[in-house]
Amino acid sequence: MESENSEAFPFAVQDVDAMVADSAEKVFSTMLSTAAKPFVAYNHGETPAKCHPRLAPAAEKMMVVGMIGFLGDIKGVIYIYVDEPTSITITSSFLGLDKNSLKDNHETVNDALGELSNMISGTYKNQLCDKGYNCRLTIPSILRANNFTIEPLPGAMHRMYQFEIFDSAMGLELVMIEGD
Amino acid sequence: MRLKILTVDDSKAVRMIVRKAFRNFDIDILESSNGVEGLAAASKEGPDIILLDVTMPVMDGVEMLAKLKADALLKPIPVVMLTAEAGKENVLKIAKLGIRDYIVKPFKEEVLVEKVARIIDLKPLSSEGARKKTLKDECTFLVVEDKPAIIKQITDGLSNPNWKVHGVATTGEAIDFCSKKVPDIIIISLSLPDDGASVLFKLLRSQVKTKFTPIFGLSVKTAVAEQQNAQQLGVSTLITKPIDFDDFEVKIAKAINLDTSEKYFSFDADFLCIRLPKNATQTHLNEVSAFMKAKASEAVDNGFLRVIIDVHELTNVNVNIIKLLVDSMATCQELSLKYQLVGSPQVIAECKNFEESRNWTFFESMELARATK
Repeated sequence: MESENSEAFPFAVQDVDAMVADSAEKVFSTMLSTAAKPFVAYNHGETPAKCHPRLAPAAEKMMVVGMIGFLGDIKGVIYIYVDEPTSITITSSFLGLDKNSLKDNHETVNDALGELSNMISGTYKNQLCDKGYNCRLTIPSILRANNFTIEPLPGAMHRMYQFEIFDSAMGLELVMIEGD
Repeated sequence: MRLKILTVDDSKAVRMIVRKAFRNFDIDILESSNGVEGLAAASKEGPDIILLDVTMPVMDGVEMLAKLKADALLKPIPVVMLTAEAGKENVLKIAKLGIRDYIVKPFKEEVLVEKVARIIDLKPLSSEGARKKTLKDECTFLVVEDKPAIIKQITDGLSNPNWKVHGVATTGEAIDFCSKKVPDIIIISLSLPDDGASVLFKLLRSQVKTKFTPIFGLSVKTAVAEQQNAQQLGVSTLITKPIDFDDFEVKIAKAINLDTSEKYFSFDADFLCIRLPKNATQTHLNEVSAFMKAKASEAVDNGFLRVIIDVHELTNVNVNIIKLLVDSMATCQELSLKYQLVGSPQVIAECKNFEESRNWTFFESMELARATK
């Protein structure tokens, strides 16, 4: 279902969803030997048909968020977020490190989440390039926050996704707009 | 001199993955987190290959590559791009600057190793570089044999509980197993159908991960022709059926450079104990002889003053055993170590039959020897 803010966009929502799902799946299966199974996808502002319990709104729950932008014929930002225990599970699997060694090791976990975001965003962005929309990635950044929201950008497509990973979930938000 | 890989990536995670991917190879990994540091490291260290990311702060990979290729000294260093940037236009632009390969993130560690191995001569860690495995370390043996009874026989026959045998029936399963975990030794039945042993051997040798893994050929004693073919192919060792497990274990130890000294040598509170097994074969004696000097020196180094040579389990005494004991005593004397012998009444009686051992004094138990300093 397309929202008002995505109607003007050059791709159908289904194509975008497929590209995002493919990117997440490719990165998780290659680097973490596990699946990233699409759970739900919806437009910002809509009420999702379902919500994964690990991503249910909880004001006090600390989330680790990876952000990475892409600039060019299409510009946008991809936000990837997981709760803290999941960020440790991901890092442990990604780098082959013991989970206990990662508790309170924010530097390593942040770096791993940043690289994971870079790979997912890169894979997505490369598909845009292959469709003729040349763009490049920015350097990833990480924040740790609870009760955060990503505000919509006028005229931009803003899709929200949840993926099942390990025994948990990962949220992904894509905000994109045609470049100048 | 060890080969060097320089990995230039702002992500510590990627640098860790690269380090992990090459951990079993005799190679130094150098790291830089941006193009400026990368150029400095390339000039200073002269790496044999550079793995280069594109999007980095301070100086990105494209600029570093351009500067590298403009420098006459650094230009010949092969560069492999390792990046999430794979848009056709960008890849073409980078390729024009001069690179040897392009790996797009996400990537499999095996792919990275394979591509690097096409450019530099990767060698597995030598025994000097890696800690020598001991009998307490876990080892994995892959047995490729279409007869389950033989796989079971090998599983049951190997005495060390730390040695894990994984049996597969086909070459496909063997390749699949090796892609996930490289075994310490691969044992291939030479009678696999459709020349499977030869096909598998060639395949394993063509892959970086298993290029140097010891491969044993398993064959019936009388199948001389297939054994000759295997030797021509370059199979490390032949094991013949029916399997002599003592001989098999010695060949395993030799192939993976295993430290088997703990089978015979142990350090107690204040002495070194040398123990010969019940049915000591020439192979056992050779092993003891090979470790003797090093272990005696270690005892001296640790401040020990005596050695107890325990032969009470021996079922018979022969001239080779006497020779080993004479040599061991001489080694102790050279190092001013006091030695004591422990033997059963049968061993003591048999030693009377040899000129060299006629007058030896034995303790009848370890407890007595231990108590007599």
